[in-house]
Amino acid sequence: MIEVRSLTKRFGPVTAVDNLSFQAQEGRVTGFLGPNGSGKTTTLRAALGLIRPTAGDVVFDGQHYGEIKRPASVIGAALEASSFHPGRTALDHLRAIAPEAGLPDSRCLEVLDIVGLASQADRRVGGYSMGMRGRLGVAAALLGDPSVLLLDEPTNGLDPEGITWMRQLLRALAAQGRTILISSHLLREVEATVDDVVIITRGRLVHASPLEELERLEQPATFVAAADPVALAALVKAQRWEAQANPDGSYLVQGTEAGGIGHAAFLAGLELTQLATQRAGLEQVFFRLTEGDGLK
Amino acid sequence: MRAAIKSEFRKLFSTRMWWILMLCAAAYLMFMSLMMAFSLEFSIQQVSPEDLATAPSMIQGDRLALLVYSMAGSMAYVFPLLIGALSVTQEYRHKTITPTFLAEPRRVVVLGAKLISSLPMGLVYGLVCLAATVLPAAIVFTVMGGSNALDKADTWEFFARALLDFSLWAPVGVGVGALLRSQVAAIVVVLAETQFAEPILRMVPSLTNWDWKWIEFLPGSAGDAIQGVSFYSLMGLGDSSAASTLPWGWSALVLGGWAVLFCALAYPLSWKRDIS
Ligand SMILES: Nc1ncnc2c1ncn2[C@@H]1O[C@H](COP(=O)(O)OP(=O)(O)O)[C@@H](O)[C@H]1O
Ligand SMILES: [Mg+2]
Repeated sequence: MIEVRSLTKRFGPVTAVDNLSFQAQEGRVTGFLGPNGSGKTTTLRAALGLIRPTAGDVVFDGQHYGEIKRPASVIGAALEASSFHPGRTALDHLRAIAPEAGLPDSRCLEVLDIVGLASQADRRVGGYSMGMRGRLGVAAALLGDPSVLLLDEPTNGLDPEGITWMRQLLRALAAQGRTILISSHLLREVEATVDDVVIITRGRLVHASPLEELERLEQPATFVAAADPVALAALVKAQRWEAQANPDGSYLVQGTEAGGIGHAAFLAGLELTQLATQRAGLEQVFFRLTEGDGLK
Repeated sequence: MRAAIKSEFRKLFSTRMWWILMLCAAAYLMFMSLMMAFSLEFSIQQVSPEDLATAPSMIQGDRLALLVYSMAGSMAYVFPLLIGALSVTQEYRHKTITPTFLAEPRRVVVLGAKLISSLPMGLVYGLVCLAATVLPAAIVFTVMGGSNALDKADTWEFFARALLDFSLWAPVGVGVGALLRSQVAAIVVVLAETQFAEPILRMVPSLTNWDWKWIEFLPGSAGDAIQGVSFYSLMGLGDSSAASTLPWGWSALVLGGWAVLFCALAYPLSWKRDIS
């Protein structure tokens, strides 16, 4: 289990992380979400001992990163997409890390195979695409066969096929009982991957729950169209529905369910041509929770 | 620590930088050595024996060969210094310092591993630079009928000291790199110090009659004193290495001391800082 405990980090006048606490559980994929600049990377770096927190700490099963012996064999991390020397090959990049995790070269080839880069092992990373660098980062994280994975924006630069691949990989790893924390500024890209969500904005926690609970915060809207648009407009006004008018005279009604709208239309003697509940999507919930807090 | 050192070696040898820099050093030295060996031997042969007797002792007999051989250390010490500095600044430049500190969170171990692994790298530079200087010059001396001094024990002791000199410059570079972190800053500082600041400072006592003893403790002076012979002493500005009152062993400690001093400063000031 990963525990972030009242973590605060200030960079001069900027408070990047503000008294943040949350946990990531074993055997689950936790999505760590927030707009750009909300403090995700800072939190992950603090967890990994790369940044000294102003206050609070992060522990892995009770231990700080620096206290773990051979940490690469317990915790795997991939931070930014480009912490590679462009003139070094993928294999050599991994071979430079392997001794400290106590691993043989054969393991380097193995993880390159897992991320689908085996055929590119001897190519210099300078010639890699963003997506390939992302995969190499994941390979480095997997090197020590760790029970905890921290991945910062792992879907950045991946094509849709790559995102699907990443999802399957992370689901498989979680199914083996590993603790996985992945950050993203887009809920959509990790929605199908994560079990739990932790949402932050301006370094503060705004929501932490299993994904299903986030779904419950979703506010459905109802699409309604009538044979007589003028009469429908009058009904919407009379009922004081919170609604957006479409150019064709149909409406998208918020906060009133389809049944209520149908009933009101029936009483008004209005013939409806369409009546449908529309899911706003989780992204909508995410935007609402973090509203106005993204970097301009 | 052993794992960390192994990592450092793998990092050093898995990019092209180490041999490109070494090739530059070797090409530069081969050219300079051919030129100097030929022109010095040629001029000496034009001088009558009586006149030669009045010339400075440093160009007489076997001393001439040694003087030319010492160009390796006097002119190319900046290369092991650079490779040491770049081995650190490259990590910051390409952000590989992140995976490095993830694999070994005890930062003092990483710095120690960089220092230790830089010593053999400096030695390799020394071997190549020395070979690039000595071989062409020895051939020139032999062909022109001069002395190549390769049969003298003194010469081989000089080679050993020159190798020590090269080996120690690389850790000094590690210290400079760790202190500055920025690659551009490290290159500028290294070139400004070795090519400009220190040569000028070292000229001052011979141009004036100021008795600046502390000059001996500058890294460049200490390096030349380890070798015992400096090509720069030929520049007619006094034999600064002969003037050095420090025995070569102490000079080695002084140069190693600079590496330790830079690292000791770097550790709290920059090495422990946030990586973000
Ligand atoms: N080294 C730093 N110095 C100053 N400010 C920083 C530094 N690193 C991050 N920040 C600031 O901290 C905030 C959080 O950044 P970050 O953790 O990178 O956000 P995210 O990863 O969620 O996009 C931002 O306002 C960013 O500008
Ligand atoms: Mg980030």
